[in-house]
Amino acid sequence: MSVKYAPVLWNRNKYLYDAVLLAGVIGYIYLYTSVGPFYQDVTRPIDGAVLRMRAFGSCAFLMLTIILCIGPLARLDRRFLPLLYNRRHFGVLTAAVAAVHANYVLGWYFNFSPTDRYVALLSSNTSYGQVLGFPFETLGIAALLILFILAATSHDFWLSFLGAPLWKALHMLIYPAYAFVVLHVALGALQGPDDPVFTSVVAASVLLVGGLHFAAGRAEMAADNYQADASSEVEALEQGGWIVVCDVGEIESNRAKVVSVPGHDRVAVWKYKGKLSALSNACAHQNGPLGEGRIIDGAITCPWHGYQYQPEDGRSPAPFTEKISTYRLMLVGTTILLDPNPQAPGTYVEPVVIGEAS
Amino acid sequence: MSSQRDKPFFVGYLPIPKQLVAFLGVFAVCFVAGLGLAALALSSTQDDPGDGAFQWGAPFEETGFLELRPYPVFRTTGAEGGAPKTYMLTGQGKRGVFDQARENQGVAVTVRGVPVKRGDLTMVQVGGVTQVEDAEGAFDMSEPVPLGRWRLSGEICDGKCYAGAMRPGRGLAHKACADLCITGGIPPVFVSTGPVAGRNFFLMTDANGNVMGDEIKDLLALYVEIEGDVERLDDLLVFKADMDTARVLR
Amino acid sequence: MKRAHRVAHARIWTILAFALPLALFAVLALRQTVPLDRPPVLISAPEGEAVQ
Repeated sequence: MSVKYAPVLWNRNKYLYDAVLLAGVIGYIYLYTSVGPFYQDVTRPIDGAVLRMRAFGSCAFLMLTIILCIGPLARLDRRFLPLLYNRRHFGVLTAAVAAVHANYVLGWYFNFSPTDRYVALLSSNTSYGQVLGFPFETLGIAALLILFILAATSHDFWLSFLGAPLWKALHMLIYPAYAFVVLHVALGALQGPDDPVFTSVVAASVLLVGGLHFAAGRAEMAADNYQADASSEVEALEQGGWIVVCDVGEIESNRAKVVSVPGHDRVAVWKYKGKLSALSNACAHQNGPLGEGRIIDGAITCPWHGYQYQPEDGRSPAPFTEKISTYRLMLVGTTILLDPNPQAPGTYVEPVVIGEAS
Repeated sequence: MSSQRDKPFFVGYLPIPKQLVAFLGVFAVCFVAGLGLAALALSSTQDDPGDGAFQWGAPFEETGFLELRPYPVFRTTGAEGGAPKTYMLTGQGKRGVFDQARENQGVAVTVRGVPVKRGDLTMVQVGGVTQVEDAEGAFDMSEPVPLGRWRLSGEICDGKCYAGAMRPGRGLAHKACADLCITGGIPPVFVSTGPVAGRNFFLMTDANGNVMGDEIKDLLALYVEIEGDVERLDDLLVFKADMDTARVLR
Repeated sequence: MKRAHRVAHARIWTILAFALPLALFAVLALRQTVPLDRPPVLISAPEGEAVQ
């Protein structure tokens, strides 16, 4: 929720989030480069540059794995939602760690040569026609470029400038980036001498990320296919285009029921102070699932980043300016019915008073 | 939906709900500890890159002749009546020493530099070449001794990184670097899975004894099988690889 | 009806969840190991002498 853009709007939770993040990354690099070597069974030490490029590369891979798990984990278990809150800092740090990895590669394998290191990076291995020996560096470059673009556009300014749909589409590039990284590792590091530990880590990452997304996707599909039981009293209204939401008793106070509307966005029907209001389920900020949020101090609060809206008109409380679509509701007996045609964002719709029906 | 009633609700800019503090605390500890364990597990199980290294403590300085066979080699009679030796040569970084070898052909020179050594593979990184004014005539350089036609299995490496300029200096992760080294004039070396005449390392040339061209690029750093004539030049073996017979091993 | 990005999301992951493990294991299956079972083979000895 912002009327102007500051570089980062800090708060205590973000400090905590970043502190844990930095502790994890710094600890990883320190243990990998300074403690691990004491336990290595080597005739002579591995080159420092090689050890550091492996440390930063594997760290970025693990970070990307965790980032990609946060989304589906939060959908499957809401307790993970706080990890989503500041995920963009996680992403920016991952891009930085990956960049350090790339810099060590450039400064070692592509250095000490009469050829410029950037030219060498793109021109030295050109065996694109084969699987083994494929220039896996190219896959790493593609992933790194994506991480850079996402890091650069991670700020809310870009979200607002590009609009949520385009921004979301752009940031879905993280999935191909992950695929590139997996292949980059599989065709590079994992082709070396037998390394069961790293091979297991990469395999576990792929199975975990794929499995979690698949499971979360199935859960979403199940939610979309939910059909409320239609009663005979409301069939006429249904034929007039109205949609049965649920029985009024099924919604808890200050919570919402999310309805899948064929041909439209999902709608969240809210119950509060003995009234009902229906609004778009998508937050104007990042399309967060508003219907999984709560009403706090009279305002609908998004579970992702805490953006707030007034239930009657879908407007953020002043001085904020976000607006979402509102919908008309009707109560027949105890059955809630919804007109699936959205009102313009920010349109006031008189709440339905529940009265004695509940 | 009733199961949602008691679930804590996190709002980023508000204090963390009490029920979530423990959960997130445990997660934070697992995150940091998990990354630490992964770092130790991955770092401590790194593969041994071998004993190859620059011999900074034992600088190279010997007198002999530079020859192009077809890569620059340095031939000496051997110290104090020992057996004659032939050294592969490299310049600074990823450069060969073709220019120095051409300029000084047929004259006795003293080569100074740093040996890069891995087992019995030695490559000299040339620091300086000076012509010897009062050389006692030409050394009696032997001609290559043919050892027959062989089928060898192993890996094409750049001689310098494999010898120990980089640890590790072989394998597919190192392929682009090996390509850069060989393009820069460093001799390609075939590392065989078994010895021929007691040696596992071969200076590689093409079937006619010329400098390798682009035909090895796609095969670099892979395990391959190649046929070709093997020759002995003092203590150095030369593999005249017939690239038409090369195939990648499964 | 899902929003466009959720449709894309579902499609991407239906493919990736199966294709990525397959690709990874296929590449790992191609991995080469040191061909220690292939020692050098003398095809033809030089004229007039035998080696080794």
